[in-house]
Amino acid sequence: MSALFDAFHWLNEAPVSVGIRESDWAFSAIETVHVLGLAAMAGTVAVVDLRLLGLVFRRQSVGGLLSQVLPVTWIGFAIMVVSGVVLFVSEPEKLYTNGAFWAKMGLLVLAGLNPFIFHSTVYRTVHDWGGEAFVPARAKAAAAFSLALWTTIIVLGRLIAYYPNEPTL
Amino acid sequence: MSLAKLFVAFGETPVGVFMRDSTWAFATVEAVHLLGLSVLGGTVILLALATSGLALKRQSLDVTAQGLLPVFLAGLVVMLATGTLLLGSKPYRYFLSEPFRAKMALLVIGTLFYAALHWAAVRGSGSSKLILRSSSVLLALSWLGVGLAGRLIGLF
Repeated sequence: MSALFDAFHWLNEAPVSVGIRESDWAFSAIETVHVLGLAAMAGTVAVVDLRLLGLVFRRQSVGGLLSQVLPVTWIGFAIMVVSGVVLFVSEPEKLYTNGAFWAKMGLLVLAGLNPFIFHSTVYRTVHDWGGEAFVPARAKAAAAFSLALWTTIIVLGRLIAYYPNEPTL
Repeated sequence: MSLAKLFVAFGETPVGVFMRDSTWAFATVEAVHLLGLSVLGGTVILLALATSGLALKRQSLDVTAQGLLPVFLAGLVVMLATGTLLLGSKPYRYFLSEPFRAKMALLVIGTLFYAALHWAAVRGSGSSKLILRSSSVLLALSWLGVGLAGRLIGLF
């Protein structure tokens, strides 16, 4: 535990971390990129999940829609990861004791595992699902889980600034 | 009643007072505002890319536009509802805020651009590629402006 804190503390004192914290505009600019990047990542994931749940684009094949939308999702994900890492680097010590941050990181791991399992199992057979209307129950479950996960992750992200009690932003 | 007085009056309604006095209510509504932003932003990005011919190329544009519209509208409803609640917490301050005014103007412009682009996509091959492409850029820029102005509200 202490070794982890030492690492966070070391990073907190690193020039890049101090530099972002002391800048008038840097943190706000990076946070803006992070929030607006949600559109590219979570918004497109929402469209994909809604298709799997049979709620949108019902007459388009699942495989066809996903293969066309997911590249945008990946770009959005890259934006989120890069901006998120920089945000973390700017205040590691404060985040060390932030429950919302840790919960968000834990759920991000799950959010990564969910599509990995989905793509390597049930999605492999997408061309055999038989007609546009049919989506296997396991695929629907993965989609519902994905929506719930990302919703919670986004809410937790917002709560980081409110943790523990005083809003900092 | 002047617009300023309307804003102030809104803040004194029960919902306005509730939003003003409850930190957790504001945080929750703000979080839902973010969720709506994700969904709405996603449809804007996808429609802009599709009309520019950069993504979703394997189905016709009208199919893409028809599919995205209900998602855009749902996102817009969520944004307007949560935005109104957030406004209720300190309406006069927002009224005076230049970023807020810019955001509202860009919101109207962005919605008009989405409607125009959706209509052009559904109508078929009437519009030139140049018009479609420039319109999608303007669509994306206006909504990016909404997001940026929204961020600036919190900073000024």
